Amino acid sequence: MKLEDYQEIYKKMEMPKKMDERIREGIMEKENGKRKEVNKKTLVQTACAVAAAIMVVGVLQAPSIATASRQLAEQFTNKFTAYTEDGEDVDIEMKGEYLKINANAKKTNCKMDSLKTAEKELGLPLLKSKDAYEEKNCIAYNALLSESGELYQVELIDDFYVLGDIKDVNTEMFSQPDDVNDIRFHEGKEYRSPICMEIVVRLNSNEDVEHPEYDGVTADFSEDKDVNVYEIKNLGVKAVLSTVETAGVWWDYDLNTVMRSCAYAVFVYKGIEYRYMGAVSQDTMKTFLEGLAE
Amino acid sequence: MKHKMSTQKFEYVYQKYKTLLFHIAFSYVKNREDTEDILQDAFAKWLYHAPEFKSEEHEKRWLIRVTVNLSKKHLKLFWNRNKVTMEELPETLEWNMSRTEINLLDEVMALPDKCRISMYLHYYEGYTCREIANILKCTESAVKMRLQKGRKLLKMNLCEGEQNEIRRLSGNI
Repeated sequence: MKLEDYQEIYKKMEMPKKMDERIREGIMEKENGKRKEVNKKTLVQTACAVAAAIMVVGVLQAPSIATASRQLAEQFTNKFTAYTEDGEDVDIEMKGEYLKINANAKKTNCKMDSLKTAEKELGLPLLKSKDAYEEKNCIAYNALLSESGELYQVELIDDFYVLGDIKDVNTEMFSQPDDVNDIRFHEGKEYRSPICMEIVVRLNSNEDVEHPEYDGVTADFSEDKDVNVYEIKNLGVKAVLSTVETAGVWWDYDLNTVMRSCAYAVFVYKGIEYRYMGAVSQDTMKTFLEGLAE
Repeated sequence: MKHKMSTQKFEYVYQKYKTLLFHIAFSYVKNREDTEDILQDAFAKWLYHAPEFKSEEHEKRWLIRVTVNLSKKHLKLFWNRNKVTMEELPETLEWNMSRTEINLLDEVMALPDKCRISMYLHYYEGYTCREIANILKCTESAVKMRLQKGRKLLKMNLCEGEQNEIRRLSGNI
């Protein structure tokens, strides 16, 4: 199949007119029903205002950029808005920074053997876990370049950063940056999958060049469950924890893998964004987070 | 509770995203009635439960994710698991497709769900692997693997120019 044939099929898949009309009608019906529901709910809310105000049911990361001229900014704000059942917002802000790294840091994608190697490459201290599973080529180093060829972001990805108590681990590591490392394992009691890691370093530049627009949106929590704000005592920063239903944490060669419940954590430390996800409980994730250090 | 949108604003958003969301929902449930239900729910959710969006792109990704989640939830229902009615769909849905295109559509719809949605977002909507990972709440590497498998299953041969463009989108050059 050619790419253009594939795209042509979707071009022809238009919504039939009758379906279009029925969807609009359905939305209007829902709108009318919702209005009544809202009125009824208002009465209940009066009695339950205090309880509802502390019931956080979802969090949305809605970051805003500190300044419009992005390449001159040194900081940006990631604003996480947790909203309650009655729509009240509770804001949590995390300061991100556009950082300076070694001028000769790699501008091409590659694989690295440990976070220490990445630290040397970037000239920046990074958070590490003493339980990290390190093997040759375990970390993917992604260098994002602007159209003018300037490095504006570096991502470090390790899909099996911590293995916990998973058993019968068998890995296959590839040196080519395009090749995704593979892992086979059996679930442990605490870790039903490894915890994967993504570190995002956004870079500053003194050059007056156009960077791709960063809208600050790196994750959307509005559909997640059990969203909590957790203070990592060891680091003195707040992390957003949530539970995500996903099948895409490890290398799912079996495409029919069942959906699993995974703990997801995101926080910013010294301007760098850290994200971790794994099929573990939120308590296990908290223990993992407390073990992170430079 | 979100304030009621103006009719003008609703019309703008509906027109802008209806085809995208139709493609996504239909790719999952593969039938007309369920696609309608999912789109109604997705737009209703946008009307009443959408957060404050910082950009149009943010809004678009939110709508994609909501539609994906609604589609998955729909498929989880016991009586929907095996309800696949692809036969004669192009005709009943008034799509002007040749026999060859209908056969290609069958191949695309026969892909595993995970491959199909990742391929659509990448090869049709132009999202990078990173962006797809954020939308689908999976890892970037998982998206790369799904694209690789999808290409293999469709025997999709990309010419050099297309390969370079895809590598650029994937953040690999």
